[in-house]
Amino acid sequence: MVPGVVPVALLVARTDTHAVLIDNLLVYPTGFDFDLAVRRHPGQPRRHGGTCGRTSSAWRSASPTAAAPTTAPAPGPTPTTTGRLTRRCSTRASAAPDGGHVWLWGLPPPGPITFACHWPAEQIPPSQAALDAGLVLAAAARAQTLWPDPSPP
Amino acid sequence: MSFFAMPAWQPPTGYRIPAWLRPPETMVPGIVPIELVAARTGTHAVLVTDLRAYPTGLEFALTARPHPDQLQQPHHDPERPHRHLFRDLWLELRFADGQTVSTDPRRWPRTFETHQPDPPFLYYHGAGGSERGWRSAHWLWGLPPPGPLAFVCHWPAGQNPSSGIEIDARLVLEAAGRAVPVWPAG
Repeated sequence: MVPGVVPVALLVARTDTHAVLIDNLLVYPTGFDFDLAVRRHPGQPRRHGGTCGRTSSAWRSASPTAAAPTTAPAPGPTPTTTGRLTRRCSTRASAAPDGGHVWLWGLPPPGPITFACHWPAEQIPPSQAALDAGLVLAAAARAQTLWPDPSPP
Repeated sequence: MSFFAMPAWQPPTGYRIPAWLRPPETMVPGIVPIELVAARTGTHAVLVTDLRAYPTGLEFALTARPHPDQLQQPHHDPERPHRHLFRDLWLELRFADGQTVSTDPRRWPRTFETHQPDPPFLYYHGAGGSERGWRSAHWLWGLPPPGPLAFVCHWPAGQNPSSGIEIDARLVLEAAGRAVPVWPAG
């Protein structure tokens, strides 16, 4: 599939030292993925190994029926999605130098979709930002099949 | 000093990757709302994705994907088994003013790591993949001039003739105008 692009980058959290972005939202008919990008204020040292290597299982879902394993205490930013299961994947080449790449299985219902983040290790308090799910659904409709299925219907 | 003795800790040097080699980390990019199929055959497709614009340039990814029927096919050079065939995928950008840039490092100025090259300058900073596909990240230092902007790819190993796609550079320029600083001055 060629995904549909959500033409928005979302600033979820920002302190004097760090910022967390939801970036690169690419949508398919079955779900969407995005980069959780960590930006450091100029002058902030980059830690060896990056954040990604220390948060391998820190992702969780707020859905009571779809909770994913959580490392406690989580040293990295912890996104919370409501009603769907998120899965942590590896960081893509340079896409999110200190964050991670997330695949969300399933499309959100119409209305606001809230991205919430909490990163105690870097003193980022619970923070959140909302996106109109209509942008995601419209992008899903723009996704295209690279090679149509030759099998008869 | 003993061979096994650890050297004394030194504070970070404060080195920063030059602006012409990376997108600015302190900006929220403007998203270019398109995904481009630069080439497609019965066995492979080449996409230009993740286009994000900044006041100083354009970031994007070049992605090669095999057809699902090709997943079991070897994707390594038979004469150089360690080398992935996708590595031979080249991309050229052609601007409205006649200038071109390429992912071919042989076209980079020798001093690009230490001296700021004249824009436009196309750099790639990370690539990887498997039999399931290949992805490389690119940074175009300098924004394209108004007019058509062409992405042309060439992949000898995949036996694709040169092919590409053209967009209006206005999409990139408008996205660059939407980029904002993460930490506003003041």
